[in-house]
Amino acid sequence: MFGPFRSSAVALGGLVWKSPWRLSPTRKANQRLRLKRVDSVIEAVAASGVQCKALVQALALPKQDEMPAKDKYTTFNRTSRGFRKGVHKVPKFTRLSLRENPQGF
Amino acid sequence: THYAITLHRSAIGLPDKTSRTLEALGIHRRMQTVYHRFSPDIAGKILAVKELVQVRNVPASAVRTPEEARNERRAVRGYEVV
Repeated sequence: MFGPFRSSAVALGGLVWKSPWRLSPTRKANQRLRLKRVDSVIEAVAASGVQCKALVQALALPKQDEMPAKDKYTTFNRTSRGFRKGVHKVPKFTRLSLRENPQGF
Repeated sequence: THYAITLHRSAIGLPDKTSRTLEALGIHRRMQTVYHRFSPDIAGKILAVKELVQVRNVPASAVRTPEEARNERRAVRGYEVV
């Protein structure tokens, strides 16, 4: 009766939880902003002059302007056709770093 | 000499390690700002939660305790006749 999965006629019609296969231009723009914000955090830590392994690994990640569009808006998925799926299909993708994918995919 | 770390995204729904890292940094709620001296362990903690947090490098003169920050935000009593 309450909660997200109410069995109403509208919900059972199968149209309420549609999700497009790709990101819209707005979502892509927001994704780019998020990547820039993470880049600025890594930059700030690097500018502070400390040395640690986490920083070495973070600096090895590609920056937002160096990433191809394929890596910004899709991620590797072993069960998808083409071995890629939209990054928005990953739970909590707005709070995760998904910059690197297996080589060749 | 200090990191000013502000939490912008919460760790709800993320693995426990992430929320424990925020606790270790002394952050308890969204939009809270915390100051820490430069050091490799704090840098590692920031990088563990880099997607949730914004960081500025500030001089030691800009560091404020929560009470000092609150007093700065408070409205000044009294008025002026212009």
